[in-house]
Amino acid sequence: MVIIIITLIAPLLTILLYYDFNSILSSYQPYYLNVIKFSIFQAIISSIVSVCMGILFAHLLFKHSYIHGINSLVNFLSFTFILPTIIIVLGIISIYGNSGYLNYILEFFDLNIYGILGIIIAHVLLNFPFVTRIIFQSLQDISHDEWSLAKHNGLEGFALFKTIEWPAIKKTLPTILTMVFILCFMSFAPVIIFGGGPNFSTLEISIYQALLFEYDFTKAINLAFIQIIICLVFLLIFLFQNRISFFTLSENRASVTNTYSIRYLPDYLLLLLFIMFAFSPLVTIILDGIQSPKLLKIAFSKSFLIALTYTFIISVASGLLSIILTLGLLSFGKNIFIKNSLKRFVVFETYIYLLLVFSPVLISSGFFILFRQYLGILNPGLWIVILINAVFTIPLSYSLIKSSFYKIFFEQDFLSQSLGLKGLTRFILIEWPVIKIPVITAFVVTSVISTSDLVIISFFGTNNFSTLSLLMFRLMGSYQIQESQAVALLFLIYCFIYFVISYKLLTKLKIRIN
Amino acid sequence: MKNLSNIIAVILLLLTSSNIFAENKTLIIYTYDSFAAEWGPGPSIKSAFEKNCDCTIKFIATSNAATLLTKIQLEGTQSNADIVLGFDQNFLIDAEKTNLFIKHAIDPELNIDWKNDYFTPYDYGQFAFIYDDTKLLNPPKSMAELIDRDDIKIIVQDPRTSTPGLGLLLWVKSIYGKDSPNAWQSLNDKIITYTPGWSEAYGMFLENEADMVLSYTTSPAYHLMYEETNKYKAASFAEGHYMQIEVAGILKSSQNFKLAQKFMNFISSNEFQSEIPTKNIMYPVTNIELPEAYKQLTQSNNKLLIRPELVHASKKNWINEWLNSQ
Repeated sequence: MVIIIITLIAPLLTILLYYDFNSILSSYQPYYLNVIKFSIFQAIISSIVSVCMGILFAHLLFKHSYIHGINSLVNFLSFTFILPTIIIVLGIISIYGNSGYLNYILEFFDLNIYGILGIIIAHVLLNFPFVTRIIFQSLQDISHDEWSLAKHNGLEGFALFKTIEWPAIKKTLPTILTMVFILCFMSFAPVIIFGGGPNFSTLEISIYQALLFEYDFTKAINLAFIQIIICLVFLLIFLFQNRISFFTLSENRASVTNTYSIRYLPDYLLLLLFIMFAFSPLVTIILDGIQSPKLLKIAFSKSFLIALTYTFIISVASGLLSIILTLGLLSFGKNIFIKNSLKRFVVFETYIYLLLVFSPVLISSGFFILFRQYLGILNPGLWIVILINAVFTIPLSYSLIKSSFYKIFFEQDFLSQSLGLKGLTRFILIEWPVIKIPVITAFVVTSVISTSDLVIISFFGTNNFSTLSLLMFRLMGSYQIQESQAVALLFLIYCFIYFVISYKLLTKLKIRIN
Repeated sequence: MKNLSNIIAVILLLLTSSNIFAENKTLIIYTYDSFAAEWGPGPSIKSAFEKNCDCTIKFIATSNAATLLTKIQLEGTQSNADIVLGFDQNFLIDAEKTNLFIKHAIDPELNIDWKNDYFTPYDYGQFAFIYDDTKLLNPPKSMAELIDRDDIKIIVQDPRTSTPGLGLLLWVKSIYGKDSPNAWQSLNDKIITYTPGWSEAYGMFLENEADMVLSYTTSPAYHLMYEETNKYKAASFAEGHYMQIEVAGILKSSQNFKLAQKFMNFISSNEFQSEIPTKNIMYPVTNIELPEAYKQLTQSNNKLLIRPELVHASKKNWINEWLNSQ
């Protein structure tokens, strides 16, 4: 807890030292009202479209879950969510971009990918597979009895959806909507790539520009302040109606009794369309990458190897740090729960999710100023990237680990106390075996997510310090599109190998006490 | 635990000492990507300079010239750079005011008017709109005509994140003065998109996304030299063309002042300057022989330039004025 407070407060205070209180209002411009409006507007549209598509997709997947491979497909959907944003963005460009495979569709409607359309397509593609996954899970949590009862009463089609599925979906909606809204609201890479100028700019981009191009801390802080307030308002609206319940796992899974049938043909076609849409960026990345004549040249180039090395260091280190911080928070939460009321515990959890609303650009600039006396000795950019990624992925690791952690604690507390087990011994003997899998999942997920960062690295990066995301951004920026396609494929392979290998290796790991 | 802290201490010591006992002197130059890149002038300038000094040049490149100064400001006196090479005259006063630079005390012979104690220019250019003369048959002959025409689509750069973008802002300002917001409003109808930097804009233009793109009068020389095509032309504007002068300066915190000064003098040497037209696609600041392709270019005699002091004082307001006329 202390570490998190320090990691957030210290850089904020440092930045505040540069705050010019005399010019609080001078940075206000009518233009920023447009930026605020656009930030909210695009986030609302993106989250509503993502959620609507997610509901329909999850409903279809669940209805036809007898189809072989549906479950692995659903699991694979979360993989697209953690993939580096820039890979998805490049995929979208090669599908809908000006020389893309499907550009004729946009051209027919006289539309252009650069602008709000590109931003929304990117946000939907990034978020709806994940939304689908969560809603699919909530559909699975509907008890067997409810289904039988509905069947018994002859409910079918929309009536069945409305009475049985909708109530289950509705419970998860506030959390999902809030989360997707905040992710889109704070989003960086899709907006900076598709934005196309001042008319389609968001607060996060404006903060980035104020800090890194105008060196105007006062403006950046003012904008960040507005950003935090808007996020908080949305968080409060949604969360105070429903308690935060991120990923709950239930064992009482319902199964569907449908079987293959010709009358489901429209459903099958729709499913196919959804699957094609969800995986289209990945497929194009693979196709383009393999065809790229620059593939081998890039794979052995110095810039690629440097980027690969740093990406690996950053994934391992931030994944590890995120887990350590999260475990610390969990045991802190446990103590609050024992000593204080449930109310305090809810407040504690809310603080953790509040991490999502801080602007990474602002926090990292604060860190940079703090760290700068070590410049030349260590690589402060690297440390900052690792630290910020670790802190900002805490809400995710927390929600992945918490249910198993608290469950094991309350179930085994009496046993451990009667056996006199304490501290590390207790952790290794009692808790670790149960939370091992969620912890490993959280580690792998946060590691891969950390490679997404483009905000922090795009400033601290140099020709000698870059990541695969930054390398792709630079290549795209200098229109070396074939090179960036090659990097995208290699990056995708890296993420996949990292994901599979670390998961396999770590699950075999055993901790022994002598 | 104690062991661990010992190990960390030893590692830290090794890391620091490796910096202190470097074999020969290293001159660290902060610059932008396209200068240091393998296709830019950086590598050949590096080897030419290293021949005559017992030293190594190390380029550290940021992705954009517009963030160079911020990087220096953020690093402050702890920066380990010796020289910053790459921002233009519009950032001159901002850079001086940081108090992080030291007077260079050199006096090179240049082909442009220049008087500044802290910074010395290494190249210059003039902004211009580039078009493909096989596609755009009647290019506008002035900024006023461009603003009035409604059959032309252009791509420009964002003045907040790109030096050519800021160049256009000042170009419009130097022509229209107080009337600039109106000029921008009509200009906006022609702008397909504002890109964050020069390369995105130029790339989109080459992919036929627009009729014209904001670049330099020298851009056609690139196509002549490397692609042997003369279809790309710079539209000559009657009002004149805005200037960009790119400069270098020595940091106060540099431990290698003498060496840095030697490099500053090297900037106006023939060896350095002859790399500029072919690799940075800009005009040299000394009177060297220009490549054949440059003789086909037209340089405007009406070189527009707003005093750096005025730019410094008004930049923020002008950018806000532009933002609010969107």
